[in-house]
Amino acid sequence: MFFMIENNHKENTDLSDEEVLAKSDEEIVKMALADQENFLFIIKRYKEKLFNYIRRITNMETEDAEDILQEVFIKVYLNLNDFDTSLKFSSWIYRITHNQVISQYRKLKARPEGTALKLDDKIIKTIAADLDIKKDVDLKILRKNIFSAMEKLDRKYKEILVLKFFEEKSYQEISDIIKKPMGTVASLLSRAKENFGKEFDKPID
Amino acid sequence: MNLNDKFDKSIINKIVKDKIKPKSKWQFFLRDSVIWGVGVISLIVGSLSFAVVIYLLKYNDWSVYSQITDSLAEFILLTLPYFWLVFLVIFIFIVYYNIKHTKKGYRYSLPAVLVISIVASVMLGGLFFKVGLGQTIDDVLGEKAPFYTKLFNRKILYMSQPDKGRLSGMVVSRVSDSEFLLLDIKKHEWTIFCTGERALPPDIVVVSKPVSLVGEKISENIFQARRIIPIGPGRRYFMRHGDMHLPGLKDIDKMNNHMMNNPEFKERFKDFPEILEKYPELKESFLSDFPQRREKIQEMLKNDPELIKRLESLWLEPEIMEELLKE
Repeated sequence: MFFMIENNHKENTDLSDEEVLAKSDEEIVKMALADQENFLFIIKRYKEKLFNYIRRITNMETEDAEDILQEVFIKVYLNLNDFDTSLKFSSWIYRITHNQVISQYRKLKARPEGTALKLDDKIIKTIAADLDIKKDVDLKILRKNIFSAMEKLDRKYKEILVLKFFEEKSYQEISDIIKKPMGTVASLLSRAKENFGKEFDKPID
Repeated sequence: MNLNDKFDKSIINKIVKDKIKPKSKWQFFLRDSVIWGVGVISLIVGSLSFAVVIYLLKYNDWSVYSQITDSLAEFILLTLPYFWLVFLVIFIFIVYYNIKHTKKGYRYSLPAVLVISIVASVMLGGLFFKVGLGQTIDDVLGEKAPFYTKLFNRKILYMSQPDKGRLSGMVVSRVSDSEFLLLDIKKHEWTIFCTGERALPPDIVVVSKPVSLVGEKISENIFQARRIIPIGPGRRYFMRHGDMHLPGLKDIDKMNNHMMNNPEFKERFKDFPEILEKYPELKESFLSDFPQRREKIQEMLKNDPELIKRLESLWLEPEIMEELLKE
């Protein structure tokens, strides 16, 4: 963590939590541009999602992932005026996160791997259904096998599977996040599934 | 793990402490404009290259390839405008690169963007060719660009090898129906005979115009021509040397803009009167263009009475001056 915490900033108390929740991302961006304190709403709305995303694709330790996330939010704030409203804000902020992770990838690779993939039952079932994995296998074993196969994949395959199954992004959103055409996303996803299948069928070390 | 409020506030603290402000809209507008601007400029430059490629290929003397080379393939390999094609490919790539780096460029596949870049360059290039820009570019470079015959139009050197039966140059005199005089690119004078009794094609063998010949060298200054071909691409190259260049209205305009103090400009025309004296038909050709020149020069003289002194000092003998200034 690279910041000292100060408590001398007032939060925007004019809006209740319900009112903030009701606001669209685009409205909150406008509010943040008008008053930097309102940037807190963007942080609050996205910090958990992006934190999990970073951990899922990198297996980083918590503190390292937080550092990356802080850098991401600073970049988001710096580039708020570059947000193109024809995109979903979530795609834009995921893209910045994706780029930040890529730019630090070499550094990240050297770090010990953790166990960042949290596989809840819903995700396991979705993956099993989509990847044509036998459903009669025990969920515990399935979880272990899926985790093991995911960890062995190339970063690019792992990331696209994370975006599709964990972050539940559409093809268009993935295309906007990784800045590749939809066709490339489809073929990348297809190759990722194929590689995942191969790794899944291998015995666990 | 949940990130607590401290995390949120630490970011706001950092923003406040480091006085971080969102970059202004104009910075992003400028970045996007540069990407589009470079893309559009590259598209235009690439299209201009394509216009020159069309011009060079269209007037590539396809009808006489068998007399110049042994096969069509050899002729194509020899005369392909490589420089312009490489130039075209480079600028198509820059267009492609810039399209990919526009805000939505990543959404299009590589083949789609390449096809768009190529089709746009070809269509715009075709349009540029139609309005004569391919020829204009070749003319300007032919007259002024260094390494023109080595870079932009290698065919001129290839067609200037009399020992191998190829000769190019400017017609300076028609001696008879089957004979004329030609100055080659080294300013060497040749007497050209047509094979048989065939008359010289009057629309091709025109005094002051360049031609290419296919035939046989008879001696050091006599060449027997089997084919006479008008020169399209590279025609201005034959006029780049001072003693072969007829000063045109543009040159006179430049003089009006005080260019004549430039020694290079004076040097360019220094042998002109001598050449005109040696080849009367060339002089006649020059004088035939006088009504247009006279009108322009007289108009310029009204605004710049000093012009007459400059004209006298440069290249015009009294007889020509008299003709030029005649009311």
